[in-house]
Amino acid sequence: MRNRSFAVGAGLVCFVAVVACLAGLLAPFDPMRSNFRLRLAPPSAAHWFGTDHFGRDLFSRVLYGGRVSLEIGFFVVVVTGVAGTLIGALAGYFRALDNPLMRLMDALMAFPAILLAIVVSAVLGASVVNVVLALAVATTPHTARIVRGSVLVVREMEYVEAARALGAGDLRLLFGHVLVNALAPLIVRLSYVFAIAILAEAVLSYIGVGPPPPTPTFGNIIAGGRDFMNTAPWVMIFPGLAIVVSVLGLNLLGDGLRDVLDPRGVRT
Amino acid sequence: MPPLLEVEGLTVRLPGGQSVLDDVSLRVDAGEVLGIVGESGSGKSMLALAAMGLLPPGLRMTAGRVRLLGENLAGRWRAHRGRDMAMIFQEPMTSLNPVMRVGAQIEEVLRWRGGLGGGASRRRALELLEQVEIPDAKRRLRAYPHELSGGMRQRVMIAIALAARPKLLIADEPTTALDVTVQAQILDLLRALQREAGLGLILITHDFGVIAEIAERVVVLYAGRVAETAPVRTIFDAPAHPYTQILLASVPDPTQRRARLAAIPGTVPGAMDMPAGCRFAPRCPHRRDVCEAGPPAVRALAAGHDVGCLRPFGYQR
Repeated sequence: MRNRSFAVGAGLVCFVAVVACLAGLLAPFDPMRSNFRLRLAPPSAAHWFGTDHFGRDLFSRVLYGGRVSLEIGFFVVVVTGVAGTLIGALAGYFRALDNPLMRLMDALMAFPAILLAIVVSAVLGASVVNVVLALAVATTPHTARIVRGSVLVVREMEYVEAARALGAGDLRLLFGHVLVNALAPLIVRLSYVFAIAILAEAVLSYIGVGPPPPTPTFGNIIAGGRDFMNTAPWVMIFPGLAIVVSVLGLNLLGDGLRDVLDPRGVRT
Repeated sequence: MPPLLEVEGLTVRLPGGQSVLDDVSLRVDAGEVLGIVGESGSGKSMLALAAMGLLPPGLRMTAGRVRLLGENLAGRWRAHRGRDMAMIFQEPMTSLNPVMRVGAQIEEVLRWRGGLGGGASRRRALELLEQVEIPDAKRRLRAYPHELSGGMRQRVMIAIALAARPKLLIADEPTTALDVTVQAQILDLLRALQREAGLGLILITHDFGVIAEIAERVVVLYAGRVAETAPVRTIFDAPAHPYTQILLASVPDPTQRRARLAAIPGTVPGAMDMPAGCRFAPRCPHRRDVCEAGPPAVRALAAGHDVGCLRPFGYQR
């Protein structure tokens, strides 16, 4: 694999994912346990990232927060991947469904994604599941549009016509021949959706419509440190850095995937 | 016994009403090779697609019938495609699904059209690849299309088309994209398989060499109409339509070194500006005023020799 941004991105994403998965083993403290004698302690040998205003160990909270944030990102990717693929595939393949489905997607896309997510969270209530749903609703239209475009191209390929000439029906053609050849842009898009979801979760938590506070997420930890930004900047800096590393890794991975999967980009 | 495939008065129109195919009739019997010749834009590929019920969106069959063994296919194509009639396309490079192994693509047809299970379909796929003379067939089953050469892929396409033992095979320029030597091999193979299975074969081409080699009867298509239908000997020895005449004269003859090739002035008219009368009239050296009055009916000159011309060559008085 000669692609540098793919390698760096994949490395960062793997690192973040492994650390988040092993949070239970790596975290030196219980992320929920407060210690009022050690409120807002700066980074030290015992508390690498310092502590927050309840005296909770920030390193442990960032590890656990990473787990929740990545979980949210992952499930947003799954829900968006399935919904976007289904909607995009149907709209791209069946001409009659194209207009109704895509105009619906356009309508959703007209709302700013964050605003849409805020509305969904506000209506359904703040919880991890609802944040996932909210972000999935916000990221599905664009994903569906990408899949539709890709399906439109592949649908006209001669091998699809050839399979039709051998008696394949629409569903077999769509799922057996068209979709598998139309997946490359979707894979790239989903790596960006993952990054968008992590950022959006932070935004939602920061303004208070994300998963409710004791749950550590990147956004919640940052939101908790908001009032102590001047006296204890580490409360915001470390989770902020964690977001930067995760999102940077995912974006590099997406760029790398785009180059790797693009047949025109093949270098000899 | 009804003919294997019978196309009767087939007319296909664009959304604007212009006809791409106009009143085309032909038939193929079991065990027969019918060649369809025409320039680009003559509608020969469209004819193949219409016969398979695969017209592109927007194009509509506004008149005529396609019958398979006497059964009207209108609305019933899907049940017959792959099972009774199959088609091979021009471009072997793009006719195979790039992300599926060759073996899986053959087996897919065997399972859904041949009703075979896993083990049986694997054996039959191997048998088919051997039948189309692919060396090292066992290993090729696991190959992806991009690992095969053009000729090899066309052989795979033939294997897939024949998988469910159809009665009719339509080959749309199956050798156009291949090297000349590979062309000959593929034609030999097609003819051998056709004879062996008693297939009806429709071979579409713009190449009279291919026609001479393999066809028994020929349909010459011009601008969506049948110009001439005749046994292959008659087409070469006594072509009656001026278009067939000139088309044959434009085939290079290696024994006539200094002779200038005949060329037909102008191009095939587009569907948007079809002449009202004979569609060949504007380019025809024997044109008379009557030619522009109305479309000439296709009439029989002799048994099995039909011509769509008011003043067929060799019959003028």
